[in-house]
Amino acid sequence: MFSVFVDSVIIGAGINVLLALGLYFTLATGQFSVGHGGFMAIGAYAAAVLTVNFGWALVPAVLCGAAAAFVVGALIGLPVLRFSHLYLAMATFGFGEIVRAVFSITDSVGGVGGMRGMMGTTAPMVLVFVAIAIAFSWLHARSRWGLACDAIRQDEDAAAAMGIDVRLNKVLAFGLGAALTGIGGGLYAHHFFFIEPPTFGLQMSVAIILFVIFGGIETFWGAVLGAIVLSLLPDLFRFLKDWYLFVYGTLFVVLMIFRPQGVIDRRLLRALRRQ
Amino acid sequence: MDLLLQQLYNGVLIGSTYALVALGFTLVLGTLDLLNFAHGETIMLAAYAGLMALLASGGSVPLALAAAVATGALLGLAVYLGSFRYVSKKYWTAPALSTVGIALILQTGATRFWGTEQRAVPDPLGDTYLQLGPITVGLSHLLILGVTVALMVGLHLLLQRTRLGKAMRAVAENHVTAALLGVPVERTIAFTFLISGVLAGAAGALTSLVYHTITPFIGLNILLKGMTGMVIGGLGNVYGAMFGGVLVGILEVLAVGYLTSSYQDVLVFAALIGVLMFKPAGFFGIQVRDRA
Repeated sequence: MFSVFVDSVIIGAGINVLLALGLYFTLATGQFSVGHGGFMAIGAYAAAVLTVNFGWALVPAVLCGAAAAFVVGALIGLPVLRFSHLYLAMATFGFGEIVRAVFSITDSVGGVGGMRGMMGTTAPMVLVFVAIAIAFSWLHARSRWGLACDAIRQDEDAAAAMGIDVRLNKVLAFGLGAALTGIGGGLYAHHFFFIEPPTFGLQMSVAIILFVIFGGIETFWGAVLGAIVLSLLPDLFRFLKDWYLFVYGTLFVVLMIFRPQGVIDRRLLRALRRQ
Repeated sequence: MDLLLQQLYNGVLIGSTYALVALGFTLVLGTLDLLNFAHGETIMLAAYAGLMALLASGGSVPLALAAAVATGALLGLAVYLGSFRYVSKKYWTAPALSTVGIALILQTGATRFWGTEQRAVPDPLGDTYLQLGPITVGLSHLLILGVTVALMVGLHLLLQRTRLGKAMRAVAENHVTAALLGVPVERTIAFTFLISGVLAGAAGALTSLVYHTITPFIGLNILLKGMTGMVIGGLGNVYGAMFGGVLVGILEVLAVGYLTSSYQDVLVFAALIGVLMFKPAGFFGIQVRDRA
């Protein structure tokens, strides 16, 4: 569509927006996941096996990858979501590491050596997926369902007392977030031509968390903006070279001191709307 | 049978360093409900400080240990100041993410300073081995086990027998009540980070002795093992962390010995999930506190 460079920037940022929205949906019911790299891996590997081994077209393969991530997410969600914060963080972290370890010992998908031969992710395709995801998030935030999620995030017991099915909503939110992250994973695999298990380890899960927290956890716009800004930073700060991660880390320490809720919160959105 | 005994011994050896990692991590978690993701990088940097002191002093073990412990303690305080003291507690994610930032800073700093390639860690006690029945024991192993046990006993005495330890337990129980009863909460918290850093420093020096090499990227892996040990032993439980760390070491060594080494991580993390599912309080958790 544009130059190769612009295309790859758009694809990279778009994939990150999908990953971040995936975590946002999980966070929207107050659940914190340190294992979203695992869902990304499931989406990536499932889509890659379908296109490479079975010759499927990319879009249906990515959607099937998302479905696989949804199923695993919901299954994991059922027993795990009764944990409170710290336990859930540890459990999802363990889940992410197990997914990584399992793909490393599965020789049919290349094992530790990784898998190659995927291709076909284009900028328009990514933009369509992102547009659908944002439209969905926007509608979700305005629906009774979104309101229910919000209520659960703020006070689970009160939400249950209002007649909201807390368990169902949490599992759905977890599965939905996993599915979105899985779409991001499928597109990621077919953009970079090559995937290996360490790509989807704790570092990826933490990167996804940083997108969402940087932008702000109160609205989905925070996840979108955080993913876009943090995707563009490496290109903007190219002059820092090897010190880049150092500055990135410092940025987070400073941000958490001055704006722990992230850059975009509801007050900021209201202020913007009034103008 | 002899092989099994040797494997178990090796597991206990590696596991005892994991137990130190788990101890430092769980101390901060239990007192402050904070996941300190910079703990692994603190260990890594302390290991480098220990190695530098070892090389500079021509193989002095006490100096190397002291340098590692001092580095760990300083970094513990740095994490307190950077990620806790001035960060709002209203968002429980904020301090934890801030420690991720500090981890990035420490790791990048280490790669810039020492390069990304492996560094060999010479064994200052040489290749002296004792044969205890079927088990081969290195002199440096005795050092590792000795320091670990000394630190564990020290921590136990500190927590149970001193005013500071009592204050730490009070803060862990309830910040507000502790403050009302006259416990200097902020100072106690700072000490908690300091002690956690000391444990990380010792863990760094000892793991580098176990593995004989260090890279700037060892922090994450060591932390993962320590966290798993902590969960198995029960979140925030000091004695559980000792047990869990050793268990992770044994599991890992047995996986390498009897399966293939690639199953090592699957087994360790499956144990983690299994414990969370069926015994969420860990083996030593007396009650599950809801940390909502």
